[in-house]
Amino acid sequence: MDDQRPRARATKRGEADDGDVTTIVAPATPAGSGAVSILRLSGPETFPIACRMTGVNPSHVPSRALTRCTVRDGRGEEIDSGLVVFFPAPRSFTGEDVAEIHLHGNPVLVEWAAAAACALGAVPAAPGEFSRRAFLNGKMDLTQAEALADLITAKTDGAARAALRQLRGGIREAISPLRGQIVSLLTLLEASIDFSDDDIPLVSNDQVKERVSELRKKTGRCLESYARGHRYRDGATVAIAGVANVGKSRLLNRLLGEERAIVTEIPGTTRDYLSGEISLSGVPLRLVDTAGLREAEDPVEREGVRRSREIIAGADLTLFVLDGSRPVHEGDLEAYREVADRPHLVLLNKQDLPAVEEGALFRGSGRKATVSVSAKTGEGVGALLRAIARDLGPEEDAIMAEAPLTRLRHLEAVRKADVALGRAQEAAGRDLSLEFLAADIREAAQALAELTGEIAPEEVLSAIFRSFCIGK
Amino acid sequence: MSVYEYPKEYDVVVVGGGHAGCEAALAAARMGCSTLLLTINADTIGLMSCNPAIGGLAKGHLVREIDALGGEMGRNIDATGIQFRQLNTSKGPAVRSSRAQADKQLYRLRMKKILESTYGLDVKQAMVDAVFAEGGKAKGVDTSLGVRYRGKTVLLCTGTFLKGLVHIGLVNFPAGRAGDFPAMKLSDSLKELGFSVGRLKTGTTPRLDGKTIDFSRTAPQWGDDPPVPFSFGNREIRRPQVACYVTYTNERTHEAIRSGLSRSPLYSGVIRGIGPRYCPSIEDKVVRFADKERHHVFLEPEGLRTAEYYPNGVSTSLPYDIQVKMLRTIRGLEEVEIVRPGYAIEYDFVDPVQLVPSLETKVVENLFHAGQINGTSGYEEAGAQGVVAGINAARRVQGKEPVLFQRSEAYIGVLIDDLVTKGAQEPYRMFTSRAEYRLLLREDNADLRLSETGHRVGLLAAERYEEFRAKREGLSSLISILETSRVPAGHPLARAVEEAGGAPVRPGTGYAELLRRPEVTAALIVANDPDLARFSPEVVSQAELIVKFDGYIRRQEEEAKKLRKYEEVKFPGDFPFESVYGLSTEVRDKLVRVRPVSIGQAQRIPGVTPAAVALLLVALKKGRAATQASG
Repeated sequence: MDDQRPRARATKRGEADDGDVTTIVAPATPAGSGAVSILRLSGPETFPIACRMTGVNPSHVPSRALTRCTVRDGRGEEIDSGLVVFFPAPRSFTGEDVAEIHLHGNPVLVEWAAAAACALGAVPAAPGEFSRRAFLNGKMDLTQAEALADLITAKTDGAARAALRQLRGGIREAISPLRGQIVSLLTLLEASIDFSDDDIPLVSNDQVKERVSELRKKTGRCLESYARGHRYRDGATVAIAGVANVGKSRLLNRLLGEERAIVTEIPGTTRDYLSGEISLSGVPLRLVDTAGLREAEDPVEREGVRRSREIIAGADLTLFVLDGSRPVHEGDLEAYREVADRPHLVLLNKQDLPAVEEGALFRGSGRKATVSVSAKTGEGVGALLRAIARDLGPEEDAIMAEAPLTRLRHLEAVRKADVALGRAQEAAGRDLSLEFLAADIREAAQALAELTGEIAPEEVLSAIFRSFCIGK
Repeated sequence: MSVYEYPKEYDVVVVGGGHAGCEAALAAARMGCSTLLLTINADTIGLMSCNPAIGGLAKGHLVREIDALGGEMGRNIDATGIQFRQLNTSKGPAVRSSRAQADKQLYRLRMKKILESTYGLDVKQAMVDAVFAEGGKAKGVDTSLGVRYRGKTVLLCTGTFLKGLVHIGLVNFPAGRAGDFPAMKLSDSLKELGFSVGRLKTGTTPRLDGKTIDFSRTAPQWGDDPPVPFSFGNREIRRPQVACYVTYTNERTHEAIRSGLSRSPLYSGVIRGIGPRYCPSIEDKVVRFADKERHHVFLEPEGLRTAEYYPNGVSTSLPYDIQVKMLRTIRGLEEVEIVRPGYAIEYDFVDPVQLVPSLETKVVENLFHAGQINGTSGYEEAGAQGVVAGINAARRVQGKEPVLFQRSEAYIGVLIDDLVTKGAQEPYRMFTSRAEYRLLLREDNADLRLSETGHRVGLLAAERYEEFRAKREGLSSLISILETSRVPAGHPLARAVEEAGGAPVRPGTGYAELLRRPEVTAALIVANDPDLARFSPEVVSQAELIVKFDGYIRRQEEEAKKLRKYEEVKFPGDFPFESVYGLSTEVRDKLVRVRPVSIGQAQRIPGVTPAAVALLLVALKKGRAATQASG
């Protein structure tokens, strides 16, 4: 029975020829909530990509059954331990080859895994795209179809729509200078091509080069803004780290305003990590308490420490907590090395007790000032929140401040545009004729269509008719 | 008035003998249909009402496509052209276009003779007043003499004749074209049948007496030597070639024009029809681009046996005295005499969103529209629609499915999709920038794209198809040789490349890899490998394109393939766009107006959002389920 399975792949390849040629990826569970996040892939390259990421060969395991795996990115970097399940075409949600990768419920991990899938050739799914493919492949029944219709209607009629439009509008506005430049460059190119027998100024190769490099600067800045921007959607993860018994769990409780973590005086009480969410200046913050960073004997605790490291690696900011009522010791320094290369703040906790350590050790050499708090009394927590907001909040960068690229799909769109512009630069360098440059620029415009709206031929033609005296 | 019912019933009745009507009638008759072509004036069949030229940017592509399908336009211009030029040769292989000056009278006479010598095709002079329809189906036409010609299908190719109104200054008079009767009743008949009818405007230049032009004060412009034919079936052009001449307007010209603006029908508000932005009158150019010191004027001969010249660039509807004054300020035209004044013409058109992509109307079955009636401008756009309407009328008579063209397959596909999806807000002209898969839609490969279809429908002549097949086989074998051959050590090709200024060629380098170098041409490779001498230059240059720009071409092919899936998701003819759940009123109105045939077309309607498309998919799926449930 098992030996029949590879055949599914063979037939599926054939189908892909006249079907959707891309493999799409997206989280199947809502961002930031739940114990488990599921990443779903669908399309012709699903199995090779999932196999690369999980090390599980779909033809060696039963279909539609969960298999334990270690999830890695394309470079072999470990993301998480999880589960994978394969649904060979056509018996899947979309009717294509589908794989689902189950990860721990951490948005950072999911984002990382999705990015890894993209690096291996998948593209982020458009909203409703899994469902769309399911329709096109005749996989969705009537009830499901209605459910989807309801969902879409809810989005278009409800409050969700307003939020969505705002978000979209913001992005469109931010990208609009980029779009404007693309349209104007296309206008020049198309005028030179379609109206070369009219008496109009023709665009030179050098002009194109110059304009494309300006455009690339813009795409580059957009891409940079992503790292910050995505926090608005998925929130930022703030890890609380430090050696055992410096008051991390109490700090979490203080910040969350609730008794989430078990607080005891026994070092190593927090073996797994606990988390909670607050909103800080509009950014949803996921605060994650980690197990104390120390070489532990207990295998359970050791696992906890391993997970702590993982969280710190994926966090947007780490609060490194020191016990200000005792001198810094070797353990602190060792633990600090785990966070030193990551964005972090140093906290001197237990200000309610007589201070011993001023954190001098962590000052200087360009390092940010330490923040003094008392998790127990709440002293200094306001200053801490401001410090966090300063670190995670919007930059002065206009693009960023107005509308950060918040979604992986936006990032992909801009990245695709950037790649197409790169090709245009190269083509200009090789002195290829205008037509090829125009093809690349159009592709860049096309990539951005989702953020900016289509750039229709009519728009380019109108711009030509406005700007040039056309017609003999 | 009593009606005389003509005893013969035709398969196809074509109304109009212009560029759309001729192609339509020829296509239908060549596909075996008994065909009648009715024209207001049998002396004006195939007449070039405006400039005496065929082709041009993007238009040359259309001509090649018409030819690849088995149409006549390419052969007709090859037989009657007096100056051929390849345009845009430096801009890239896909935007290169052919253009030719025609001997206007020879062009029309040859076309008329081709019609007359086509079996099963009758040409008659008649003024059509109405489409005769019963039960929502077209069954023939009624003429001004009270004759009813019955036809299983009716094709309207009426050009500018529907309520044509000619303007020269503030003088205006009804005419189908200066010097011809207008069709005053036909568009009313269409309104009665339920069509929405609009009004457009176009214009033309004065015609000048060549013996009063001082050509020594202008710059001659010659065509290509040797001239390159349009038709895939022709190898050479034998007719002697002539020159055009270039001159310019100047500040005095513009001054003269401005002095007449108060009597311009355009600027005094007399003309209400919308004119084309890409083909403005000289007064429009002077007003809108006041800073421009001069505009060029091409003096194009109207033929070998006439002294008339067409001054390309000075289309005008200014009063006659201003036309004289303005022209005589132009260098070389100081003493010019006008033979015929320039004029503007307003005419009725029928918004093409009322058509399906086969060019059949949605309102009346078996009725097809082609050419300016659909809001287009240009002989080539008209001819392209004529071929499609002719093919599909014949297919209807034969009881076969219509032939439709994809946007990724032909400019014809782009043209028709734009018309039926977006309608016409101004006279529509083809531009290469309208095609999203421009690199795939080249003049050189029009036959590869369309000749199989031309053959399948029975339009392309057998010998042309055989030539095409031989070329296609040659091309694929040359490409596979280029992809698999390697340069052996000491091969003369390696030396030739180095002598041509290229980097040293390592033995074992693939031919294709070599060809992708900018300095290496396919001709160079072929010249240095005797095994390749058997391939025609045409095949060699085409293979070069395909290999050299493989990356670009492949990317566009991928894109086209992705989008094709949406074209294949079709709406049933009676799909209830009115009652799709969840659509906004605005989107619903747009869908109801266009009634797209596929999801792909729906997506291209301006204003139809991705969310709306998702809802349409849901509704389609539900409809299918409901149909299945009810058996």
